[in-house]
Amino acid sequence: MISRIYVAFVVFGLLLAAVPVTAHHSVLSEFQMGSPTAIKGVLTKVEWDNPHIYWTVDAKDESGKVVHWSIEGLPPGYLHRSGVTRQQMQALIGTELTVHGRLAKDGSKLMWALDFTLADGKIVPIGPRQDDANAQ
Amino acid sequence: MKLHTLSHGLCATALVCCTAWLAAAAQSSKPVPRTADGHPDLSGMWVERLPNDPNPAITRAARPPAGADKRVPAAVSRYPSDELPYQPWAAQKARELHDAATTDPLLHCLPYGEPRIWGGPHPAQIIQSPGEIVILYERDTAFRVIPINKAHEPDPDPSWMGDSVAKWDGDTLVVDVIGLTDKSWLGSGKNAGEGAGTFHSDALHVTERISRPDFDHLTVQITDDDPKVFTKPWTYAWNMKRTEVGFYEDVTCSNEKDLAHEVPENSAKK
Repeated sequence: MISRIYVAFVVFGLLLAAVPVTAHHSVLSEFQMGSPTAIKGVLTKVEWDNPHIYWTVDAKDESGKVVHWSIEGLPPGYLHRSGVTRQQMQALIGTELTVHGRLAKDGSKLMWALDFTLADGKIVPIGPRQDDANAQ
Repeated sequence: MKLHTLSHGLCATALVCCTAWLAAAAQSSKPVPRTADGHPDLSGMWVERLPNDPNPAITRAARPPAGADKRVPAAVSRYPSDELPYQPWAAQKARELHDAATTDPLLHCLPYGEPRIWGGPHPAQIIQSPGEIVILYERDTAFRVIPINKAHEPDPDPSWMGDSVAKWDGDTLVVDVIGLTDKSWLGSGKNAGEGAGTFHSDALHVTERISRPDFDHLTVQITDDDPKVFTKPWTYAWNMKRTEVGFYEDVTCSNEKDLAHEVPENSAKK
């Protein structure tokens, strides 16, 4: 199942302009622009809801302590139109993945998701690509 | 790679491309359906932003101050509200609202309202009948019932979705909207969802021109006329595409977690 969406997304991911999508609020006043960050952890929860999907990822900090990260993304309808369903996301609960995204400006454990890299190396885009600090 | 394998591969690729091209051509040549009274049928599920659409928005925060980077035109502003024809006092107010970061009505469990509700990654469904059109929006799980060929209510109570009436102008449905509360924001044209500080007054008068250029597309051209804050009317258009994916519920503030994390920017206050 995931391999099918992997193929679709690698293809359209290459076509995406590197700019942020419209959000229901000011993404730019909440998240840092500049080079994206990556965190690796275990997916523990998926909140498949408007206006934004939220994932919870448990990652270990430098001391080995588990930290709960909140990952914010685009609306469920947007992902559904790209072929990603709630069931596919929930099937990843308990597995390790790497979140590529933008850190919150206020220093909290919150990120705006750009894509997920799954345990088997497959990439699932969560929003339009934004690969560098000054993407316009 | 052996030559015959390569040639087979090229033929297969050509066949796939040909098939895809023919399918696309057939799709776009499908006629616009018409209702029994002869008008184009605007009914359908429409969405402006698809996952594979290039996004025309500019990453304003990544831009250096105007003039600092010779590659960036000096006229480009980091404020989305500068795109709107605000009077000078209103332009300054919009910048201050933007920089405060926490002032967007959406962050406070208030609706998008008309016309901000259009566009973006949330669909709208139109249900057309001879005497009215009904527009259902995923955003806020909101709706409008718009009578055709009727007059406005006299002095309608201000509301977030306004008082709308419509009439046909050839194949274009023209919707006239008054009675809009001044509590909503306009969005910023191509960034309706972005917290742009784009306030308006109670004098806002919106005209929507809705047409279906082909089977798979809907054009919603919006003119916002607000003489209390603008120097002239402001027109923009949403190019919507047909989608088979239906609605997701959007219950205002059932999943709102952004307000606590919004960070004010360097103030535009003078």
